[in-house]
Amino acid sequence: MAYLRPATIASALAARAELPRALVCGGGTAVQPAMNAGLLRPADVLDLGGLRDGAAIDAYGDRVRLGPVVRVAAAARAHALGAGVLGGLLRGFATPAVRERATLTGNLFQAPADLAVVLTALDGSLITASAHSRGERRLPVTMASALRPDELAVGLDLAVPAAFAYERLAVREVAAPTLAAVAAALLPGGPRAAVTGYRAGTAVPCPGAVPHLADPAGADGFAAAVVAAAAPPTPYARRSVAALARRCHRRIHRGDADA
Amino acid sequence: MPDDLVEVRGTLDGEPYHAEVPVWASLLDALEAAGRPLPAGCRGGQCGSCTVSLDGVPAPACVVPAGAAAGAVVETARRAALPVLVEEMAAAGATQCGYCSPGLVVALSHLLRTSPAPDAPAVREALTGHLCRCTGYEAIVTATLAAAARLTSEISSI
Repeated sequence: MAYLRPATIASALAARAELPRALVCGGGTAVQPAMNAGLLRPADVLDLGGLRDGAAIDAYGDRVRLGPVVRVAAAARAHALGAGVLGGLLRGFATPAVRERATLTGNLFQAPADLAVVLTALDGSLITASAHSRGERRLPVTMASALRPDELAVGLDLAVPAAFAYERLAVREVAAPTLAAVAAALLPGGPRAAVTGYRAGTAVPCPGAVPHLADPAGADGFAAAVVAAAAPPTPYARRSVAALARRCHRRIHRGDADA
Repeated sequence: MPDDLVEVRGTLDGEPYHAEVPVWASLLDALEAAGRPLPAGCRGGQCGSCTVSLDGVPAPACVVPAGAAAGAVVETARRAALPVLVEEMAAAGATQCGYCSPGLVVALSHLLRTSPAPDAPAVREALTGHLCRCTGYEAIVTATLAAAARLTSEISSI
């Protein structure tokens, strides 16, 4: 039984190769409650929270690469991500104290992964590596379960948006599961949108909504395409997702979401 | 030490502490094992009652793996509390049953240290994740703003 807290990504990969069944932990804010409840009883824990080289936020061109243990609060404060664009969104994630510890990458390994819809709209990918292979592998942010036993997530790659909007439906504002959410972004490579909830599962992109997102008068078309992607099962749910989409469209084009 | 335990050492309220806990234990468990139990509530990071200052940043001890806190400086309300905030909370009746108060005091003291003149929305934002079933929060907000006003007054009079 061991609690390993490596200081570098290289040593973390070596530890992963040695203990492929160890429970991997980033900030611990999701894993620890599961251990408290007895749902997880690992023999070994590989804690990435102490990685000295794992919390960097590096801008390159019109994209940004985040280390595997960039905290949610740090991402919200980072100018490289567009602090004003993402700050409001990340304020709605968990509580202030939890945001200081939770990692963006770690959230993608949770079910549900609340941030997957955001990162999908930002054309995000999960970067993985292992001690046994050269180079890195990239996965969609919704495919965290596809890591190989000897791999670790070593980063996130995102586009930096010129404009961004996120609207979420939950029973309360914080510390409650997301029922449905829509994210939309104007990226250097073009608009992107994603939706979560109902049949969309964790998050799916909405390519059919893209032309409407670029059009300032396209709110209704955008909402219809997002609803089609999520396929909500009831009229109430369809109206809810459509409202979220319209609010996103309005935020993108007018900077506000008031009706 | 048994093989199924991990050793955690750190600093608690200025004194060294030591605990031997299972690999899945939280900092909350480690402090309890060290003889310094905190108010425990949800054990899921949502109620805030076990909030401590961990290397200067508030954190619910229940969501911090014990091993992650090895070597860290942990402060409870005993050491992290701003006296002026405690005085104003007492004056405003901002604590009733008192179960949530230690965690609240840690979070709000951090707010006042990092943002000396917060407005009411900033105080309410800092209270997010702290459940108080007695006060309705208004007295807590009032006390924090009063403490901020006193701190600002003291700074400007220097």
